[in-house]
Amino acid sequence: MRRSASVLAALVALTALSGCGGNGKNDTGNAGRAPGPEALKDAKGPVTVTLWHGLGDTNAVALQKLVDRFNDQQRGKIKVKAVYQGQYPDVLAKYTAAIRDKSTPSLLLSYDISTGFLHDAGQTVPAQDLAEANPGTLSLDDIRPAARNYYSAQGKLMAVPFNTSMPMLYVNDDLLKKAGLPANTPLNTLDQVVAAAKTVHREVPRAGGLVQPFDTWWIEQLTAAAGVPYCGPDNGRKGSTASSVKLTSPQQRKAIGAVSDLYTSGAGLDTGEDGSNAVTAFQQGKVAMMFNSSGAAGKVKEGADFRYRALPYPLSGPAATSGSVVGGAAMWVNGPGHSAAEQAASWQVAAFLASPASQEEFSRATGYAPINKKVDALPGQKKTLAARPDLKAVIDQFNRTPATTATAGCLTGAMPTVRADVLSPIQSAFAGKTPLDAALKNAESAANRDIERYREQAGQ
Amino acid sequence: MTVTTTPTATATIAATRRSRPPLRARDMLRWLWLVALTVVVGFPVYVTLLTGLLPPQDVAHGALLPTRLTLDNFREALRNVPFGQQYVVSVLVTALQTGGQLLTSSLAAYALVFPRWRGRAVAFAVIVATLAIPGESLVIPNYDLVTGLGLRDSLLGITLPFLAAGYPVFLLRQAFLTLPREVWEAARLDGCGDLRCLFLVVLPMARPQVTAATLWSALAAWNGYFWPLLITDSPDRRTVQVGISQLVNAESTSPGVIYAGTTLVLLPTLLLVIVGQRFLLRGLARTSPR
Repeated sequence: MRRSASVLAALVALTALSGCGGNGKNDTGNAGRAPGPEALKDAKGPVTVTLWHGLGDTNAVALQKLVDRFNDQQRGKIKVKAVYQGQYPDVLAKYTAAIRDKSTPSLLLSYDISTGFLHDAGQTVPAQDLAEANPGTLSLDDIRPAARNYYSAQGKLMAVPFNTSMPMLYVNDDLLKKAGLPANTPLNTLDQVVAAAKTVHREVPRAGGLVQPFDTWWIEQLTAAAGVPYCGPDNGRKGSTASSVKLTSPQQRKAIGAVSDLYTSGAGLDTGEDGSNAVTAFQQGKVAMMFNSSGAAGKVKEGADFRYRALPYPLSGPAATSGSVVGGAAMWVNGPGHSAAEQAASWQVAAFLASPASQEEFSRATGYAPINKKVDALPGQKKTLAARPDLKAVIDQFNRTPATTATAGCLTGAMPTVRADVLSPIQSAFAGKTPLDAALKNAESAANRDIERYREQAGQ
Repeated sequence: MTVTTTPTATATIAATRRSRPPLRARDMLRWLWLVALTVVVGFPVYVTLLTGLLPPQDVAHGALLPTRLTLDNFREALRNVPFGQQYVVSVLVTALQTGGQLLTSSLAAYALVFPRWRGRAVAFAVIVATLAIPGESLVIPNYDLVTGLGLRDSLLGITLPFLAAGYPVFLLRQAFLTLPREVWEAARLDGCGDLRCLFLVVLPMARPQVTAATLWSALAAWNGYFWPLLITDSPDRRTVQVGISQLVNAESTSPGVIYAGTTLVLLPTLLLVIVGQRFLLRGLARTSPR
């Protein structure tokens, strides 16, 4: 209830943006004029950096720990104030309001689907320019390609990923065995997963084959894993901004249809939109397989009293072009209304939070995948991964995901509304109330209306 | 809900104490109905309390009876959120907002009912029309106003847009309309000013509806989430509702910790209801002026 209200508020705030903040052009900031280390030297006294974030619970504690360490290191030069601003959609709504009265934070940690909007709002300095102006702080080549790909437009990195997750397949080995499936049953493709789920449902009384949180992220994942773009042209990543959503390509129809069949046949378990409910069903041994975020790994581990594995999300397209889209959030350095010294200081914070040591620590505390490739070579990390095969599976999947148009995901400021409007037609199809083809068509036209409305407001 | 059934409950208990005639079918039904109601109301509270005290494995398996209890969830909740400070803010916000709404709405309702002036109906229609405006659409103008006044991150900033509300005005106007006008006229003849009439004559006569309006305002103030979040920036100037939301972990939530936080927020409210029930009942039960 509260969550849907906050989403609504976020959408209202987005609507209110029309005509302010966004400059309507596909601007990537003041290219080449990003402040460098000299800007910090000129500062009198410590520079304050406000960091807005939407991390709750243990994640917030882990972030605060890193911020405290940074403040100790930079005593007298930079002081970071990390402030929780509600869940992700609330953060975005608050940020939108802040654009209006020019009170944006120095640094914003915002979630994956706000990327298109933040890119269009033109309030931030591209990470790529800051990295070039500040040599020796963060080498962008160290960022995992899949994450770098997601936060780039026209080949230029806009924000530094901080906490990233991937969709995963969790498998209850005991249940597969009970269903008579051999221990080495391949589960690399969607077809194999669907077949196994049907077998379990048939052979084991009262057990479901597959469960997944019922939100649109999974439709986006099925699309990327089929190797096709979610928006046209080219997911909005190459030349022009996204102008349409695609849900009816043959590849999507096949992949979404396979999962939809599981649900209409009763082999799929519907536990609603909340990912935690899916985890609970999996922990209770009610279902053999689960699609869920890698971020759920820690929670699965807490309560599972059976043998289970975390595996890469299954593909339905060619391995060279298909894969998963990253989730999570990235750090945006704000330009307008912030002094050069503050921008340079914000970059120092972002570089510190993305550094191998910080990423290793944060990953261990939270279960998010470290976005810095150099973490893999750290001795402590090797020990961690030996003890945590589920975490290792996430990183392997990260490194295996090709940086293609399909896996970059759709870049549009309309993403939050698109996500909301695609959901109910798809839910209705999975519940067997509407034929899938009609549902996909409905969802597509609703999403296209959202994109059109957004483009009109943003003056694109 | 529980509150309104309690008088019957006490009556029933008294009846059974005297239980000379055996329980009649009607009494049995009444008992069953009360038990069912108690379960409906009590069960969520029970689950909240219990889940907050269970270790994660037991939560995952949906335990409804405690086997092992732990305070870990409460520790975790208190470690993450400055609940104590936020509690004070929430209480102050609720007091200020409820007081403001009661004052403004009783004044407005009085003006709409007792003095005769042209345009009363139109004024009332405008006030009722505000009920049709969704709160979300007011967020941005309110934000601009409060920020413009320099009241961000302050108690006054949280409450300012809500010191007046349409619903309590409507509620009290309807209440005042049912009061005998002669009493008011007599008071005026005796030389009472408008304010004295309102506070000494009209409001005491409309006590049940005033109680209802107070409850409505206080609940709305206590449960506010999005606006306090938007207009405050420091953790220690926020309300508990915002605090609880920080216990939610976007990717994988531990229900135990959230329930523990909910319990921390709920307990004082529950105690208040249990202790204040007598006064509430008295307010609701008194329908005629003495």
